[in-house]
Amino acid sequence: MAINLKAFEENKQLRWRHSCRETFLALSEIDDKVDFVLADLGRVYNWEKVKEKYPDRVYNCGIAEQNAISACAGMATMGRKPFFATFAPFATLRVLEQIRDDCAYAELPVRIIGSDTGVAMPELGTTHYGIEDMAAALTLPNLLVLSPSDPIALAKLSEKLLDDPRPAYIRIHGGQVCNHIYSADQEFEIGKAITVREGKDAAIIACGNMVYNSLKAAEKLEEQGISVKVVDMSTVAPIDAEAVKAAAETGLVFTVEEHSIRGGLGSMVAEVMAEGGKGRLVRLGMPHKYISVVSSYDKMIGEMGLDAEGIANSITKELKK
Amino acid sequence: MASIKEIERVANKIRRDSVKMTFHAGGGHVAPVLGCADIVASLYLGVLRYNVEDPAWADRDRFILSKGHAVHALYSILAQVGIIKEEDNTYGDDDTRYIGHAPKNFPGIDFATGSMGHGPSVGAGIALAAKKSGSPARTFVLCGDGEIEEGSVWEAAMFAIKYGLDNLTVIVDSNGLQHDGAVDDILPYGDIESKFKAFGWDTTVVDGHDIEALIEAMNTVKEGVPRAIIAKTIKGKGVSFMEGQFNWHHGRFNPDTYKQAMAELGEEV
Repeated sequence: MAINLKAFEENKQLRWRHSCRETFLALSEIDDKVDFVLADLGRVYNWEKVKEKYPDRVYNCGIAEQNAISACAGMATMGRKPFFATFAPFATLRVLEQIRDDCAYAELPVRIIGSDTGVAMPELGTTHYGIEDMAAALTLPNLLVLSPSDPIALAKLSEKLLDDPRPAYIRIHGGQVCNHIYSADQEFEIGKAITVREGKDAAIIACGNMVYNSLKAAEKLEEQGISVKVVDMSTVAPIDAEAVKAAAETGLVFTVEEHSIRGGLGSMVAEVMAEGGKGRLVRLGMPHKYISVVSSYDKMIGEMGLDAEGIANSITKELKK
Repeated sequence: MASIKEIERVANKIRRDSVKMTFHAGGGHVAPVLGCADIVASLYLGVLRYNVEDPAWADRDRFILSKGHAVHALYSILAQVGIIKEEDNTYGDDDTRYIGHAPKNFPGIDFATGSMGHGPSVGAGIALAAKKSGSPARTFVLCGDGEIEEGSVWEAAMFAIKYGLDNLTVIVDSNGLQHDGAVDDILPYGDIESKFKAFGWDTTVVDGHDIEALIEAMNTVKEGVPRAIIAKTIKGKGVSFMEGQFNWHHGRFNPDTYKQAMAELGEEV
């Protein structure tokens, strides 16, 4: 039985946090081994709605994430398919060893959702930003690292995980309204990038909510006669090296992520391109530093050049060189 | 059930096997194994339900060696009960799967361990899933008393109470020593029993070398609450020059000390 995407198609104002809830509800409908595990941030994802429908499949572990991860591993040895969700730093940095030893090394189907990535909660400051979560996850062998670009992608990639034995880290944005890219009949495959826009003057490889901004940037550039390919690299690890090499054929590749430019998507693409020897790479993302002055989300993203205009400007600047 | 004499014999072989493995490999966590040999023998011959023909039987009782460095106890007991073959033990050789901390994908080993403090949480997750599915499987976790300095152990303690995991038993191998010295010198946290009691666990203290007391303690279940057994042990028990010595946490034998250790354990080499 395939996942029911009605909730995702009907609600075009779905926020990322709530798409996490909807994903869990949709997965639970088709697989009774799925459990939703929380660490006192359940209300962020509207867990009440999940508890209402599946009271026996929701576990709140309280503010004790290391136990939550290892307990998920224990549950997975008994055939369960736990999905744990909390803010990105607590889902990765705080529990990295538990993920490493008990999920990645142990090769167990534990799925860890890190939400509110980047500066999704701008006013809360560095402790609550997801700047290094992907980099942390990417250090672990065996761990899938997924960064879906819209709610349909999140739902359908999660559906693929139901029949996949591998542990996974899935990063999603926060209270922001999701921008829709895909229709319900789009096919997704873990490990396969999707070219969402063709182009030949340059290529953008983006992940997560930055794919939408990249598409908007490409549209702006089209108006200036610049043709830019946009690739949705929803599986950051293992990276789709063929897709990277195809993008590198344009001669100029930009990576875009709401994450530090160090250690995330940019670094994964850099590995492929440096060894492939073709094309130049410019990494766009958050600067690799901690932030001490905060503003609204749009202002901070704009200042970091990660809105559509900023991405487009970076590209025209590079092409002029 | 096996007789006390038989279990003592099995425990003695765990000790001799771990000394042999350690000597062969040029070093190992031998004293930690000697200290918990009676606990492990009691578990496998007096408490755990498992199927030697089908080590992956879904409803088997689970044993998480959270103090994963005492893995030699597992390599010995699993061969003694017939889940693996003693002649397959290549501990200390090249290309071996007999690793110095409990490895994954090893018949009879329920979870790979080695970093301190993971076992109680893993065990709690197993116990939770077992309870939810109606499986009779009980889960036993063996920790060291240095290990319980890890905060995650106490996270698991709270979690186990919340979900009423009376199918979970944590045994603390309490020898008062850790890697760098006595617990009372390194991180003097005081009494263990009162801590588990404070978290709401059904807690008891036993002599970790009294097989009858160990079995009785491990076969006791209090409805609705997890169980903690503080087993008072002597690190290195059975070999005079190792007993109570923290610097035998990870030790190596020379041919003379090897011969002496084995002689004290009843075997001429």
